[in-house]
Amino acid sequence: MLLTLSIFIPMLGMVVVLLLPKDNHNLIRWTSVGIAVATFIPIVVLTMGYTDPDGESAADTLLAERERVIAEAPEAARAAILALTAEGVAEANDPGTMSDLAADDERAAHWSLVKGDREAEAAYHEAWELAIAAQAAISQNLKYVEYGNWIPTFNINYILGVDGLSLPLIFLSGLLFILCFVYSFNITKGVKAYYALFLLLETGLIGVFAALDFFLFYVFWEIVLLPMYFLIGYWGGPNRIYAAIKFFIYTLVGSVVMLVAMLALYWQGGYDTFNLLTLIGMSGNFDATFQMWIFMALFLGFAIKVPVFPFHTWLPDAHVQAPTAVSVILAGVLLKMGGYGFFRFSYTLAPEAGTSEFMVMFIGLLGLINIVYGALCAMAQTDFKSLVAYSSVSHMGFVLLGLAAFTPEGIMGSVFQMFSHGVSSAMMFLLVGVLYDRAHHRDLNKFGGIGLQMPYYTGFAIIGFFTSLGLPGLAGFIGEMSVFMGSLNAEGFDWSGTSLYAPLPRWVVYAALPGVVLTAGYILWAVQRVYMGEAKKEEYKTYSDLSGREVFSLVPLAAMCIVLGVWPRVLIDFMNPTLDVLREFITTAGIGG
Amino acid sequence: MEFETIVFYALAVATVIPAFGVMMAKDIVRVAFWLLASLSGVAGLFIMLDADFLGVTQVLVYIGGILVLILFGIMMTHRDPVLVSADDDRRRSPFTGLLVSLMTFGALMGVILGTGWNVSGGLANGKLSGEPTAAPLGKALLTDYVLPFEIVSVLLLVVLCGAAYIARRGKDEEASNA
Amino acid sequence: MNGATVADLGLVLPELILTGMALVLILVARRIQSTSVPVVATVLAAAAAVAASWWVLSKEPQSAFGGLITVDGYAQFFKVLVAAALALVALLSVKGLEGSGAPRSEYHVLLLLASVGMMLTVSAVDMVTFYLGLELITLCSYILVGITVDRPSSNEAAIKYFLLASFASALMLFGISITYGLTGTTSFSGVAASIAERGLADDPLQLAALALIAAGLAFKIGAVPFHSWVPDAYQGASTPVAAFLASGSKAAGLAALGRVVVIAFGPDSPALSIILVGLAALSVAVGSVLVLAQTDMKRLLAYSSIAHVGYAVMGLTAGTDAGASATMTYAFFYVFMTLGAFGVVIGLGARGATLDGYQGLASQRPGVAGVMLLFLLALTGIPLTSGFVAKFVVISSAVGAGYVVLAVLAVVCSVVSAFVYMRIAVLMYMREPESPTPARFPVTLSVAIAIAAIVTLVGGVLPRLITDWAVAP
Repeated sequence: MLLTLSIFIPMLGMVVVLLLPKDNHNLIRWTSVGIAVATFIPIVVLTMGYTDPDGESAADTLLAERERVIAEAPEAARAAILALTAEGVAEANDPGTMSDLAADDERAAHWSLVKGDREAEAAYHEAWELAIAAQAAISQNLKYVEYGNWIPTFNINYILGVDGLSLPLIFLSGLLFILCFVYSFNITKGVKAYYALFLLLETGLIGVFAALDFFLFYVFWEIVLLPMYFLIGYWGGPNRIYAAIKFFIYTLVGSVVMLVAMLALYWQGGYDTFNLLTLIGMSGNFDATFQMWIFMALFLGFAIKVPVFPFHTWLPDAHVQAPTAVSVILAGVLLKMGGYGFFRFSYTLAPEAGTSEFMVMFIGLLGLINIVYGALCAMAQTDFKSLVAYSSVSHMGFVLLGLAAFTPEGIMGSVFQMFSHGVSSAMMFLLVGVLYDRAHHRDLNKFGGIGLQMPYYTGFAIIGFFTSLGLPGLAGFIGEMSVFMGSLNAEGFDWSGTSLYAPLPRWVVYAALPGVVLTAGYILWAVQRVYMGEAKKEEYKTYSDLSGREVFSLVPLAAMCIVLGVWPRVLIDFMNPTLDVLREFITTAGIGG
Repeated sequence: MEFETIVFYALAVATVIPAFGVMMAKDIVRVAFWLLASLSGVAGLFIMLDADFLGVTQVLVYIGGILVLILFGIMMTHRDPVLVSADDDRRRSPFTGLLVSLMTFGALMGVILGTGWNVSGGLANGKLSGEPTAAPLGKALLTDYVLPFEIVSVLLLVVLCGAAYIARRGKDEEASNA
Repeated sequence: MNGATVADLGLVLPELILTGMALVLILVARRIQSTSVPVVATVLAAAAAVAASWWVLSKEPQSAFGGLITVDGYAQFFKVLVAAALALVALLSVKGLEGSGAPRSEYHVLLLLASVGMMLTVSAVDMVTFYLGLELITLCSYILVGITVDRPSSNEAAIKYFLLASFASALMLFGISITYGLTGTTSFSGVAASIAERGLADDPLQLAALALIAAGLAFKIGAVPFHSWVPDAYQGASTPVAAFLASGSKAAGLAALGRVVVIAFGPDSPALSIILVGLAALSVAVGSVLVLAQTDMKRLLAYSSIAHVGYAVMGLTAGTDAGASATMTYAFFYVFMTLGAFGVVIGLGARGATLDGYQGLASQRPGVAGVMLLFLLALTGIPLTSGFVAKFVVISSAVGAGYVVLAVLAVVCSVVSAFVYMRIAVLMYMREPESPTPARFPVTLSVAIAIAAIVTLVGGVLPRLITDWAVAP
């Protein structure tokens, strides 16, 4: 219930905001902040309660749903459904299709009681689906599962749930939205529409991380697209329309290819379901070629969002044109949709393909290219925001590298990197925004001496940029370090008993190491050009330091950078149980094994 | 060759050659007369197929009615009877059209000749039954096929409305031009 | 054949209501000067027809008039759709025909009778009624296209449409007569039985007949490669007529195609699958690509309708009941979203006719821009609009039938066409207005657009309200 609340409070809030008088800007602003806080409360409650060992488990919820379905089935068929479902689950390789059920006599007898009665058939299908889903839920360490029928004609359900992977990202989204809403008080153009679209965006984002039905996920995924398009296209910089359309078309291409993959999964093997957990439970039965296709199609969809080279070209355009708060959300949460998708969908639905020799190499190399190429591009930028945008490309490369390695440290580092990058890039975009609001330009070569004039601001800037740089003691270091350790370990790791055909070779990791130096290079150089030295323009000397609004947005992020750097176990202990079972599930390729 | 076959081909020639004439002739009076010949051939084919009612209707309606109407129309209006095709820049080469129609024709001929037809009555028995078809036709139209019959009457109503409207519009335009 | 009984009249009640209203309008045509009377009459008749269809729907499926038509869920679903489209088009016409010089009574008579033709087409299970129904639609449409005198292109479009339509009808009739010659029957189920019994499925002549009938129907729904009349006819016709052609006409043609596919020539025919896949792929691709080059709104919507017909046909390629009901769903949602878009075009008058007219609309008339955006999103196929559900079900059935390549083509083309829909959104929301604020929409128009918007939105959020009714024949 809390998850549903956190998804739909922003949407309701959007309606409320739309009903407010157009010209009362402060009312709209404070209402929106209030809504964002109201959204954050259930998220905090969920986060606090997640580690409680006595909390109800996802499997219990799903099994209870199954019992309800069977209880509501026509009386004559109940016992038969129960027997059939139990059998279907016991033999994990049983595809559970209607036609196969007539295979042996006992089943045929049960089946004859169910067959022909549409209601009973539907109930059987749902009960079976839920039973498989319950098993898969255990292997994902999921909690707070909510279940309901949405479009029964196509077996589309409303299923939500979170685990150690998605909950931190939801937490980050909830927090960033509050900060962005406060930061955006300086927006004066179309305030009402701005906040309404932002609230819709929040619904989409939280929905993406919480949805456990593929169809529902797709719907939220597309909901994210539209507000973003308008936010860039209306409130953006001079070239905003080009950037907005480019963003829209790129992302749409990725998502429609994902749609085909989703439909193929629905029809494959006759499971007739979009229930992600059920599909994951059955993924061991997909043959290798099919898995390869699915993996590639899903990969395209997620890779565009991450963005992975060569699909990254929309990102600098979008970031440079977007207003500050939009960039924050874009870098802080939106890019994580792609990374999250790899974990939740690509690898679990096509475990064999994901751990095949080709894919390990493919993803490892893409990660390498992202790290090095992104850093080189960042170095060449003169636009401050563009530099931060390319640094995102570079940092997301670590996520890929950790994934390719697939060792416990690699995966942990990969997810940690997603979270810490969400914090640090959000902070960097805010910092650039603060400067841009005063100087109205972002040319690195024209700044200088800001440090003398705005000491508090520069202090925050140092924390933000050094986190991004990967300085020990700050959050960025933990992620990068773990990824490197994990991927260097890959060759020596004990892969016996897993389906990984060939671990990531070390030379890929060695090749990626210069990326760290390059990162240090462009960040230090940028910090030097902007904050050190003499002021290049007289007007810089008139700048006031941070306002209360700006401090409010920066403090939580800076605090997280430091806390996660010094005491990373807060996050690691939270997500590791999930990542462990997830990794084990994927490397042993499905329940069926 | 049997007698019927000879008659059939004679009628077919009498239908097709005037049809070419209709297309080729430039003078609309000549077109009308070519049409007369072609439609008569069709009427003959209908009668050969045991469809006496259709044959007679063909003569009465098309030849007796529509053709005469066309001729009256030509006589009553003071237009130049020679058809002038409007210059069309976008007119395409006739060869494409010819090629497509010849290919279609060839394909259809091929399959028609290679098919076992489900034939009954008429020439299948080697001779015409000679029974009048008007009565069963009329009965069918007013019992089993009463719905299509009514649809056709609605269709004719639409035609009437459309014709009246287009004619009246022409008059309105002339009035407004004058 | 069992002949017709008087009781059969009750089963064609919706048709009778519309025909009756048409006759009344003809009789009083010259006596009424008011422009609103025919509209009110048409809307009332359409509403009564919806109610009547609903009433008939509640009965068991049965055939009427000796098996010439059937009254089943499939037919009634489309009858409701046709009547709804008729009512909306009548409402759109109030503003759409202003100053066009079109005679109001005759115009509505033709709308009514064309709808009768559509209703007969969707319920036909015999080649005779099937053909006559289609002819009734075509004939009325032809006069409707040419009915406005203020537009010189109107005549040209009407004549072009007439010539091509006659040709298509002739092709179809030829196909029907060959089928009759081969099978000795005109009823769909009889044809199917005869094909199965005598092993005609691979008979070359039967295939030729099938191709001819399919070509004729493809022309009626405007599928590529029989689409060349569509943009010209839409552009030449007055906007409400174009809306009518894009909505009711297409739905009826799709319904007829569905029936021919599912009953008469059987879902197992490989030739039919090839034809349908070809039509779907070509229509989606050509429509989506050519729509990019359009600057005239009516031509734009015409090419968009070509692409959407392709999507709708995709549902039939599966040859299953689920596929047929996917096409039904598609037709239903498409009718409302396209009518809504046409409604906005009409409401904006001269400004709505070209793409440039939409510049800055959002700052002048946010409500209008908002609903237009909704329809554009639906045409693109974005979730939470009915357009997504529609695309989803047809692409799903294509994937289910193994046509993954077709599905990929379809989704890629939907992205291609998203360019043009999003361009309108850009013009409306991200540019400054250059023309004066358009006048307020008349109530009739607003009502029609509101209905279309509600269906588009509700269909996207709770599609089961519609999909539960979409049951294949």
